[in-house]
Amino acid sequence: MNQHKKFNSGQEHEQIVESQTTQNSVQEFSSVEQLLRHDADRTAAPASIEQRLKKSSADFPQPSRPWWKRLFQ
Amino acid sequence: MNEPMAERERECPDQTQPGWASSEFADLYAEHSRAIFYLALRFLGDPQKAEDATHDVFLKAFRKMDQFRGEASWRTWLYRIAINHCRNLQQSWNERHMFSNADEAIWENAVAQSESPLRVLETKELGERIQTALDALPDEYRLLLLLIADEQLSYEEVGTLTEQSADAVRGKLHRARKAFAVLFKKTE
Repeated sequence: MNQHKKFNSGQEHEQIVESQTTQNSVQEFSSVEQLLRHDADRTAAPASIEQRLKKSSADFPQPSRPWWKRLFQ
Repeated sequence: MNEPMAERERECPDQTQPGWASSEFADLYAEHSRAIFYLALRFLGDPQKAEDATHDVFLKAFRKMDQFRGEASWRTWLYRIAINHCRNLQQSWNERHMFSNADEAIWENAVAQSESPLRVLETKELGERIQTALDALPDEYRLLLLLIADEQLSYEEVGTLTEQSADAVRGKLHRARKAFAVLFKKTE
């Protein structure tokens, strides 16, 4: 839905011309956003963050669910 | 009597348990951690700081989950925490240069260079080139580009996150794209 809204706001023309995804291939991005999306797609959060979070969140009590969730679900 | 843990969790989701036992929070992390880490990485420009920031953002989210009012999406809520956190870090480090009108004049004169497609040789250095270009941008432009690149966010949501109207976002994005394109070409 949001994606639809944003694309309707002036980026319909965005097309990616992408050659083979082999290493060192030339890729063409028609917008900065396309380039950043490509970069984001190949950037994963390190697994160490999840391990640290599991430890640090164990020091705190489980938070209660948001009030509206408790009310409506 | 000795019913399985998962069974008890389903029946009593609000009871105090070790943190990650909350499947809702684990799901939240699985769905949004990549986006939050990417924002922190490219906004702060340092993988270790981005890792620490992502950890801190999700820990804060875990502790404040009960304050989430459902007025925005989880993604937007997490982005808000992340933006505040990264801005606070930046202020304390004082690592970035101040943006001036003189800088803006440079971007405005760069139209011709920025309207051609970005041709990129796919190498492991691509991330470094992107980071170099982003680092040279004013914070506001860098943040706008990173947020708008997330297809889950609308212009309206980006405007809310950056405290401006959607039209203002569109106007600034136009300049931000041009500025990035110029800086990116310089990294070749």
